[in-house]
Amino acid sequence: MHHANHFYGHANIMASYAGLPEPPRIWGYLQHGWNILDGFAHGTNFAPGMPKYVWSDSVRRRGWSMGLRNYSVIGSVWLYLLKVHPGLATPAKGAEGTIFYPFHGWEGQHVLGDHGRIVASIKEHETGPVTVCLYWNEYEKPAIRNVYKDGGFRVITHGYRGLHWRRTDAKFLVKQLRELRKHQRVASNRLSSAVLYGASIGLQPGVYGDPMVLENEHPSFGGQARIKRLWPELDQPFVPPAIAREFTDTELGVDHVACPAEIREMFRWNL
Amino acid sequence: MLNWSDLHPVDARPPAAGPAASALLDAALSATDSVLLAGPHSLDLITAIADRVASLDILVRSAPDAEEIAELLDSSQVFCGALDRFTPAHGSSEYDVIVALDGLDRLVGPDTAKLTWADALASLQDRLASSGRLLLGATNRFGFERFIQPDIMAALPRNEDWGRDLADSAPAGLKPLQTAVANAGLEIARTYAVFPSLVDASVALTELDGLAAVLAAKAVAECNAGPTLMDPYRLVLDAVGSGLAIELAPAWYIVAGVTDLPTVLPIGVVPDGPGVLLEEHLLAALRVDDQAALRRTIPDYVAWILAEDAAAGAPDNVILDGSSYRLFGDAEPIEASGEALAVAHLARFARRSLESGSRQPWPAGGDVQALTARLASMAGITVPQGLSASAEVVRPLGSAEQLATVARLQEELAEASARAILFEGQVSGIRRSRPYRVGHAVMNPARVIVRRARRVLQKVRR
Repeated sequence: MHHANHFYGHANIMASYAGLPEPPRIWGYLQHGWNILDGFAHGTNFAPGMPKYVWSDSVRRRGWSMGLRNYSVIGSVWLYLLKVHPGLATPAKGAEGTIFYPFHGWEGQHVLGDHGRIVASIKEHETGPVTVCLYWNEYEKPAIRNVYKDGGFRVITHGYRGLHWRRTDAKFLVKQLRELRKHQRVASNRLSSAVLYGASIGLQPGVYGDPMVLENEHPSFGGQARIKRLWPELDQPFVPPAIAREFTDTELGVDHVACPAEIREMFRWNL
Repeated sequence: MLNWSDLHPVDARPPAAGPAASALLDAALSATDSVLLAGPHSLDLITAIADRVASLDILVRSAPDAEEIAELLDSSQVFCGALDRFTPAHGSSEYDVIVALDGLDRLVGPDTAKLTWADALASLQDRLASSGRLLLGATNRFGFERFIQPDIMAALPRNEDWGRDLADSAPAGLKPLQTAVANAGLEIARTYAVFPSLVDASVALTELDGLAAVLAAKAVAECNAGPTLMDPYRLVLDAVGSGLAIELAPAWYIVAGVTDLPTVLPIGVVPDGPGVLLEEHLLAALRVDDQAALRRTIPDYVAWILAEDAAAGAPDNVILDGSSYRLFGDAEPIEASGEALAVAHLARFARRSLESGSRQPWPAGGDVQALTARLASMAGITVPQGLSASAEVVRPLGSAEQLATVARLQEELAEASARAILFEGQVSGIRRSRPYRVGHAVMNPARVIVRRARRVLQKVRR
């Protein structure tokens, strides 16, 4: 249906979960990242009456209040990934240190900020080895990559999330899971999907440093100020595990995961 | 009344009757009682009373009824006439029990110019022993019926509605009724809400909540099976939810002078123990768009159906108590087993939810089968598409639910239409695009060439 359904290999993960070798078209729109509004990128042009599959009930409530309909809260694709890869249920041997995700933009919106200051704040808070994971468009810029390399960090990327059904790295999320399993902490300069993913599998989360600015960030999302108002307890370098657990359970929609038969029914994969 | 029968009415109501009335008499009468039965009661009730008390006098206004009753009973006295002429010269001067479960309206004929409700009560009371018991019925003039059916009889009065005296009307509403009885010096021991009516009292309840409410709603729904203004079943349950059901009950029994009466009549008709009707739980989840609640409940319910092989276990006949399930009462069993049985029960729920005009969290159309498939999938059951021979038409009974359904379908239709336009635009955009046209221009000749080459090859092989 919508090309965003395939970002990060989401459609492939859902297909594996539903017992299908390849993802057929999904009847509806699948939320592709943690979202503090209606579950979708600003300006997504929804076909009328199409279902919207979102992670959490808060997203459904906000979207409904803004005139959107036909939500089904099913939890994040991340949760389905964890079910598809039971082999990755425990930390890797010798897991140590921190994986840090500098806030990323995407092809259409770049982040504005000083990566040097991020390096400084990482050094201020982290004691163990640090892996910095850049989004592919930043990873491919040596100028940015080298700022972190020169800081003494291991620099990686999980791949390309894909655009318009092309060059989707279907293994994106599983690579991310593998990488997270090698660490004990996950941190970012913004509360974001990656922090949620890490925290959901038991990594201690942290949020610190210059949050940077997303180019042309839409004001309806409320930006960083809103995130800090809604979840002040998560805006700290060392978030207590119990608080992190409650937050990730709610925002990833742990109570909303549907069984394979229901996914097939909802996505119209039985036809 | 000479040419009149309340037992076999031509243009009037039948007499008071029903299992709740029998149960009340069972509970309130004892073998040594002298009883006056005033007003039209069914022959079943009359013989039941006669069988269990020391003496029974009967007062009815209809001559044919009086004759029929007298023939039926050996040892009882039957008086034919109006209450205002039923003086202590007739029957006993005092009775242990006076039964008037039909109310006080039908104790006089057109020969009586005026006998107010309060006066009628006073004349009965005059004949009641000082520690006597009174069992009184009263119809609610503003009950559920008002919301369910237009009151045609108000515009088209029957023979029995000959027009009483201006000042002669029964107390309207529960509070005025209770006040009138109390003002007469009677101490009310129990007030029962009677469903669905005095002439067909199937259940009488002192409290209406939870499972008792379901019984009341079923009783009202059963006698309003035709087109209605709004869904009677839903109306009663929603009124119960707002604490208004006793006030809106179709009728009441008021009992004075008896202690230790059961709270439910007939005894045991409301299932014991805690819990809610599963259907109500599921509908509540639909109403607030809580699909996770459905996802939690339906698999457990289906597992229970499969384990118990509960042929009568449709959600409207199952009690959910925490995580345990049990049957509410008797219901038509379904001839199926295993997953087919579970799917049949879910289909019944799907149909009832659509017919009740309930909010649907997803575009449901009028399609019971699709909704059933969605619910069954939550329990891991995949319902094959297009198995049923014909499409099922959802038929909400109430005009209110029909309007709600029209509105829902209107929106879904508008969306489907807008979607068709959008998709058509996308397809035509693709057809006009350069990649498509180039591909088409290349592929078509290529196909022809391949086809011809195959033919040539086949000829060569032969």
